[in-house]
Amino acid sequence: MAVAAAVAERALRAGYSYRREYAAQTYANRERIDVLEIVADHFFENSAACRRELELLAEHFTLLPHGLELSLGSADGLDERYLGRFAEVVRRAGAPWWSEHVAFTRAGGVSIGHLAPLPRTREALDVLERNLERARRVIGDVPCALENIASPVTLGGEVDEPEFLGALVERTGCGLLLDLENLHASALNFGFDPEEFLARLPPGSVMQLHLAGGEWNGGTYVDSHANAVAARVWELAARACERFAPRAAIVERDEALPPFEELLAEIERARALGAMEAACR
Amino acid sequence: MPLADLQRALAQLYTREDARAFFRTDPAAFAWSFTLDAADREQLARVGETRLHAYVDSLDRKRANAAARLLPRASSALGPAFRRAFLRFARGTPLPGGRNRYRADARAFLRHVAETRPADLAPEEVALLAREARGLRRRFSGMSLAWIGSILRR
Repeated sequence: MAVAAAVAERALRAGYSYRREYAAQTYANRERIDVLEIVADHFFENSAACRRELELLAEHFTLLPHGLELSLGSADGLDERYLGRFAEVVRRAGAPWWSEHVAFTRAGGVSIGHLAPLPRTREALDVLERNLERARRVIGDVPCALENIASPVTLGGEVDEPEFLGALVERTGCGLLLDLENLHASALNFGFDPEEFLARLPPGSVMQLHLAGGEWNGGTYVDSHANAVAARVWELAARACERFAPRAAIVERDEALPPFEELLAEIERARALGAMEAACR
Repeated sequence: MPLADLQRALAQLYTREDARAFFRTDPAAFAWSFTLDAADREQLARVGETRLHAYVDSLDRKRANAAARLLPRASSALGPAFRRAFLRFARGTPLPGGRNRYRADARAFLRHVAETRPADLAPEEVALLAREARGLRRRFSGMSLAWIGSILRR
């Protein structure tokens, strides 16, 4: 029994990135959803309804708050008002960890409204480390996972992306939220081998996975989150589960929302990858 | 703080058509206006026109999706013309700042549509608008002004 409990504790928990459009189906199927990621920004509104919504979600699900515009890579530093609101959501969600992107979204008073890549330099690592230190002081003692982004634009650097992420993990003690759809998109757009990328990340660094589907737009593969999880992403997910034994896998869908059953099927498939990995261990 | 300068320059390129035009015409002067050093000038050159265009395009698509969600009735009335008109509007108008920026963006777009004379629209859009307007009038007889007002106040 104790062994079973230990296995359950370590097993991969599967869920999706919560959308209000699916609120009713989410509660109705809560025994089929182990964990929910919530976009923290959607809960910044200080209304009674919004607070109650978060309370209710926290009563029924393990919540993983995910930030969009903390802009951890901004050399100008963090927006303290955003950070305060973000910390409040993490606290009220009772989250086991929170996550943000390795990116910047703000510079010189301009809010880009989109994740922008950083140059892979020592200076960028310094900025990330400094901003994370500030964020953790406000958010408190809750672990943090940092996500690799996909962007049509890439900047140069002293090292490549796996080495940059490895150095970031080592310097900050944070884990990684490995977005396999972003990895797949970057590998297609910039022509590298995603499996080699996985092999070069530090073992034990990946806490969570993101799974999604994108599409081609002109000559660029875009992580639109408008399609079912791509076949290649499932393959990468199997590899990532073998190598990292992540604690959670989240299916993302933002556009062209399908019947909820389709998402549930993807959640179940993600959970099965974790179970397969645990059985092989 | 060179990274801060590079990020300021990139934020302008990502969000403003006038900055992109400046960069296209005279990259050296553009870099100089942000006091970029040689390494950062190289970073900008690496970005390149095609990739920059793809980045701006994905930001505009994100804005168009958000606007379509916030304006379901206008979006369904205009059909594919909604997206085309929004993308034209987005090219010339940066995303507003602030917490409710997508709402502000959608409002600004509606205002823009209201101000655009139908003669400026492509003929098939005029026909579509007229068809939809007749449909809307039937459905919302006498309500259309109140409806537009309610959307503008959101």
